[in-house]
Amino acid sequence: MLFFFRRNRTVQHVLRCACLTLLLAMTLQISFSAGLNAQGILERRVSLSMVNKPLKEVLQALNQKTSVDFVYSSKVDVHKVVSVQAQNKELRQVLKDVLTPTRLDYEVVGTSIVIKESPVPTPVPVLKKSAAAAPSLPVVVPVRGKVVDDKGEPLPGVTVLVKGTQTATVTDANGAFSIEAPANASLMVSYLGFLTQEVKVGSQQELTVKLVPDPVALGEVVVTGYTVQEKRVVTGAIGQIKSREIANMPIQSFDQAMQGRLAGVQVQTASGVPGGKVSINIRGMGSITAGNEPLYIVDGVQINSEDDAGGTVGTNPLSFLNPNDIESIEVLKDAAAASIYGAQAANGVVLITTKSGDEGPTKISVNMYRGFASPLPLIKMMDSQQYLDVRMEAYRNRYPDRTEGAIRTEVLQESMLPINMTDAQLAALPTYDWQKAAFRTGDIYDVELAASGGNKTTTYRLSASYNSSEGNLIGIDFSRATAKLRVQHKPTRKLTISTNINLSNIVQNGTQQSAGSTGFMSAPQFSSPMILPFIPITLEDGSPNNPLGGFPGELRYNPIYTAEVNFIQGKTRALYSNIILSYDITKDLNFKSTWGLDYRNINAEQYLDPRTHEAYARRGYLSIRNRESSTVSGTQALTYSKRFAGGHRLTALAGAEYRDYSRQISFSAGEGFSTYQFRHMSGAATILSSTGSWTGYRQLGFFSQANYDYKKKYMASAILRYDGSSKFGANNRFGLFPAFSAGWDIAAEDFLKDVRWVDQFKLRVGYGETGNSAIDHFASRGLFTGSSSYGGQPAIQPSSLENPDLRWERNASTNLGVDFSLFRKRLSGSVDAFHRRSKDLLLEQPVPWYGGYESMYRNVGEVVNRGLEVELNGEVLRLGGFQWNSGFNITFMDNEVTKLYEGLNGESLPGNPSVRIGHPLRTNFVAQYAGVNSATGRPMWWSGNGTLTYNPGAQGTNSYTPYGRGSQLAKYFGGFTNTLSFKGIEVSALFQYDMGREYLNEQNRTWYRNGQGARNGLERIYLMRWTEPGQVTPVPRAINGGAETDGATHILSSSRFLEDASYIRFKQLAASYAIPARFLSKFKISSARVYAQAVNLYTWTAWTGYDPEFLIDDENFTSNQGVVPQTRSYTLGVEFGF
Amino acid sequence: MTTMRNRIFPYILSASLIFVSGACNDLLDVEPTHAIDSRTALTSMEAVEAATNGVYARLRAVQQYGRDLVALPELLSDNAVHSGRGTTLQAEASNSPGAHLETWETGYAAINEANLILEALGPLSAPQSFKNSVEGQVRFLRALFYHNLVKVYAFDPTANDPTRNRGGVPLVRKGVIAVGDIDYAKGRDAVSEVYRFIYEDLTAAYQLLEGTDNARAPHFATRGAVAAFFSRVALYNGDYNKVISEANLALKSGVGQLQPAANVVASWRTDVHPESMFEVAVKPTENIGTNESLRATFTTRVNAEGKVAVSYGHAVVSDALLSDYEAGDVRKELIWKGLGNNSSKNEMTKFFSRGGVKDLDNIPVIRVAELYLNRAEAYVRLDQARWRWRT
Repeated sequence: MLFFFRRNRTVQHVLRCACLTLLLAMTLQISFSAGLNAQGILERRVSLSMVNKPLKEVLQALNQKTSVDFVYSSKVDVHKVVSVQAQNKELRQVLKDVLTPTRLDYEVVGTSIVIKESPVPTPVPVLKKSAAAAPSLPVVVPVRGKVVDDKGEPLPGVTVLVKGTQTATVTDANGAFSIEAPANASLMVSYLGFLTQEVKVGSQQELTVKLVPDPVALGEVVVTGYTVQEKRVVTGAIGQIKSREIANMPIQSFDQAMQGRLAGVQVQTASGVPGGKVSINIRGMGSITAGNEPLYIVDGVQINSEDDAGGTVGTNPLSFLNPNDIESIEVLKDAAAASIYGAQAANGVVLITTKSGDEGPTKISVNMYRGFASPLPLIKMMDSQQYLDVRMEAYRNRYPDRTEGAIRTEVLQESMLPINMTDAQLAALPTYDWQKAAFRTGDIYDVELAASGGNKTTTYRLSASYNSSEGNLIGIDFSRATAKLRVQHKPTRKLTISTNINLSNIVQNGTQQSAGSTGFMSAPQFSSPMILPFIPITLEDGSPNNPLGGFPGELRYNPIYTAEVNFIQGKTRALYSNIILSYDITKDLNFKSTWGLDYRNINAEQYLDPRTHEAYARRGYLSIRNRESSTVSGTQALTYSKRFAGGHRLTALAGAEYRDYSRQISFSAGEGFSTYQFRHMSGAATILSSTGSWTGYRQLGFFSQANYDYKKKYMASAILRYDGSSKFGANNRFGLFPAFSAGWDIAAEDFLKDVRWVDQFKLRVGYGETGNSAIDHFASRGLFTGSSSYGGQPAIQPSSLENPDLRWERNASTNLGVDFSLFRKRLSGSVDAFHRRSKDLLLEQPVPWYGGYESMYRNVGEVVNRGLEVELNGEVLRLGGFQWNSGFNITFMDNEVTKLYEGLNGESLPGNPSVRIGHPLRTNFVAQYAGVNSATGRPMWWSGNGTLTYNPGAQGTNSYTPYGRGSQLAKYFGGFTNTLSFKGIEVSALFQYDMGREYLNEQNRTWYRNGQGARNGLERIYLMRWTEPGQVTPVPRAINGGAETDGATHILSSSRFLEDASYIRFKQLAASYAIPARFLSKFKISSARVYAQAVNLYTWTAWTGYDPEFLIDDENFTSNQGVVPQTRSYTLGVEFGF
Repeated sequence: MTTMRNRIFPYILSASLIFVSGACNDLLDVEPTHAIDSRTALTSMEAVEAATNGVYARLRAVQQYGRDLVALPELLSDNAVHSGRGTTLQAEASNSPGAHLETWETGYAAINEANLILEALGPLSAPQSFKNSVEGQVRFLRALFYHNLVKVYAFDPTANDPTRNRGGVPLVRKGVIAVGDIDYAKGRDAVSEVYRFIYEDLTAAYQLLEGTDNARAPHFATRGAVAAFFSRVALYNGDYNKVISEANLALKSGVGQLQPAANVVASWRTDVHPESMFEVAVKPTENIGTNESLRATFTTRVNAEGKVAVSYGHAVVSDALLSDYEAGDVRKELIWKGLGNNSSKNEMTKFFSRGGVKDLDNIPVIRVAELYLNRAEAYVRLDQARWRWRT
């Protein structure tokens, strides 16, 4: 037993022996390069006079005077009485004076001093009591030595323990150690990843211990699906994120944290709504209609990633899990890894492993952070004078015959301003910043508690958290409470039972349409910049400006007031649970049974207050939507794992999996509330609608996998999965998904064994097939639905065309990769080249409407994604206690549509020219803006090569579109992270980039209107507008209505609005400081850390809207119009361990 | 003990695996509960009746009587002009290319439903009276949908331009359930053929609805509705004697009461228009909603009591039309000044949330007044012919 002793108070902490080793290792690590510092400790001068005091008190006094920590084991009798007389003496001398008479000695370890028994008569008892009674004491000798690895390189941080005692030390930066041991004793030399060696001390006093890597010891392991595999022998393309990297980011769901951290994994946050939609795209978009989101598995159970609040508030199905409860995230990127999940794995698989408890005494940790979320920079709109000026100009240009007076009257009338206003009065009109009133600084706080521990048979981890995050827009917030319990119990040697229960309750408030894109007048995120700028936000008495007749102009509502009084809320209750039974049938054969439940209830309510203009006429509106979904799954797997003589190792797996998903939605809406105080359906005079629906599917799969390696030099893996789903047509229920991969670590070959700077150089090759089945659950069925009525009588109508041939989309992917680790792991990384062919893509093919149906789905399309991924991790600098680590990843992507269905005119999908053979998905084909006729100020478009038109007409597949054919898909993306650490301080910065994306700035289509209607617009456009003949500018003259006579409107969706949405973002800056333990003991705290985080600090982009990061998912997010922009947040936190 | 358990275990496991795999296909059977399979859907009287209601419900679509068949002709012609507020219906008001009535999708969806019901009636075990009633209603509705198709997508028989006439619309007589049922080669049938088919349906419907109680009028098909609509079809077809005979049948049917001039405004304030021969019923849960409702299309007022503009009121009465009314014309009383931005515009207030709920209005398809007009026009046309013959 050891005691820990700190300044001011003699609080003693009981730590286990293992903890000491760990602690020593940690302190030593810090002091490796801080040798000077360690020396410096002993040179500190001290003055002290104490006579006949217990040693403990003397050490305490020395601690106070020198700030040096003293550490001693329980065998040191600190109650011995000592005396000290020192006048500006070096600590070295003081210690010698004090300790020598007591037969004690000391050693400097890092910044601490370890007090230990003097070598001469040292007994090595296990217990303090027996120490005194020890009959004869063996002779103790000082032993010095050096520990090296199999290549002769020194190993720092190796634990050296005198066998049978608790005397231990740790090797320094040069692998050297010194320890006192009885001459007949043995030293146990151990280091993670190496075989522990026992060395007899004997007569030798200079030892060289060569540690051999442990072939059995799982170095770093990765979760590969139904099993884990050592990273060294993985042959598929798998990315991994550890909890450390994402800890304490002020985010609501873990998907956000993955941004910029893994090659090949593109994460896009759809909006700045906390807990809102995030999209993850692994190795490109491979589907046109059936979704591009990966499969999510949490602790072996597939979760529902399709749940939403029906557009009421922006929800994220992954926010049920507190990101700080996650231990690691693994991403199966290629089919060679993912095809174990068969028909659902086409878009890759994300595997989440949550934290679990370790054997040992209970550890309690408390973590809190607090901060704020502020909006990204706002956009400058016109002021009152500019707006009125351009509005009148627009009238003047439209009606050149009208008199100035008539135009002025018209504009003032429409603006509800007195028509007799003088120029001076107009010039004095104030401008109110509605945008600023809508965006705000939101409050963020987070509190977490966790307890973990256990004994040999049972371990547990219990955690609870509460997160509250206000958005950067009024009315938007997110709060979540979670409780999670993970228990593992081993009743017998062979049986392990474990369970994992996660409960969460999420409450989100929103504004109208904050779940996606919007053009709603009552949505502040859309309307606030465009409200006529002379309309006051509040009245003179401070009450909201809310005339029931509405505001003048096109934006008639007060969205600020509306957001305040409306009640738009989504409540998610999620229960996730699994039960796992694992039984070792023999030493090599294991049976594992996993049962999982993922239950969600999302209750979304929308109450539009009758006091607002929006709901005044209907006297309030209330809708209630309740969505309940559950997934029950069961997986049975047999795993055979055996190591054969000669270095062969085989792991074989076979199993079956069944999943049953069902979802029920009920919805009702009513209007006509007596007053605004009535907020429940009982108060509605009229029930407008009350509906419900049910859907579900089942799937059954059989899987098998075999992983083989020979001395970690040659590896091979094969997967076969046979999957069926109720979603597919009767003719195509089941499908087979195979995969093969192989690897060769050249570094393990004899000819490279002596090349010291190569640790690993593993070539990988893999091919596999996976399916995508994320389609409507009854897409193959011809159905009559009963969702209609006539005259109050029930009605049924055919809703879909029967399609028995429908089947999953199939992805065939090939991967070539290399993993390397060089210069004693100072530089490691991987490079992967992949080719992913997504075929049999489901396309909605129109059928002649005279058959009664619009379209049917057929497996006809094909898309190819090609890419190159590079991931590099390096230790750039290690100097003294300073360490600089860098990580960089980049992914180059090329996407191409290679096949659509036959008979297409112009080779693009009807009604969707952006899906075209030979081009990436989401390529922009829009009318070609040719600028402004400088003679007249009219906008022009190209209608053909060299021919201009004022009216380009409707865009079709064969329209003239040679320019601006960029794609929304990034050409390359990735992240760059740097971590600097010095002693307890760590600073890390993450830059994330998404390059080569081109988007149509739909928001600008409303912001560029420049007085064409009664709404405010951009000042930039106002200042650049055409005003006189000969002026060359891209902005046409202002014109009432937007369209010149016989011309198309200037805000026509054209290349004028295409913008480069590439960006590089200073995504995250995190700084933390581990408070040295000596400051903590008096609070009974074993560890403490303070940290600060800043997210979305700065963005470099050419995009002209709020923010270039948004998403088009063709569901809630159809463009960037009215999307709540991203948030910049700053937080400060503390973490305590007890 | 351990060894025995080890020996037994694999057997239990393989047995359960075999059991599971044997039951594979059953495990993957999921029947929807919000819908029924099309193959077996129409095998009960209740389902057939509900499916018939489904055909009626198609009339409520925005592209049908929900809005377009009533409002668009006013804007496409010069009876109504656009109020200038909002972009909705601007293109129709300015007769932009492609902005027109679109009865195609919803029309053929309804026709397919009608075909499926007619095919299901044969094998259905139900009293003949039930079958007759359903068949009569469905054939009436099919004729109505076909007429609204041929009117929009082909030349009227009385206004034919043979050099540009590309035929009528495809006549689909067979129901479609599966992908393979669609006849991809189907082209347009001649206009005359389409009219012949509509005549056939209406003739049959009139006979089949013999026992139908007038109490079902005007929201469900009755003999009166069939004859009234037939008189309209015949008028489009230039079949004037038929117009007269059908109008007479309809007038004698007892459905719909012609209202005196004094009641004109009041008739447009009641839930069910007393003159309706056939009307599309709209109940609160079937409300088409603010954005596309007829009420919001024509007026800014929620109803006669409305004090605040609650919608744009896109289609307002043109000055030309207003000036055509003679002084004292009672119909002029339906034209009100709007509110808010429309306060200087003239709004038609026929659709005025008459159902008692905002935006809720039953939609008359054919009224008694039209019968008199049809018959009068037929007399004139016949007289003109006679007059021309005499001279």
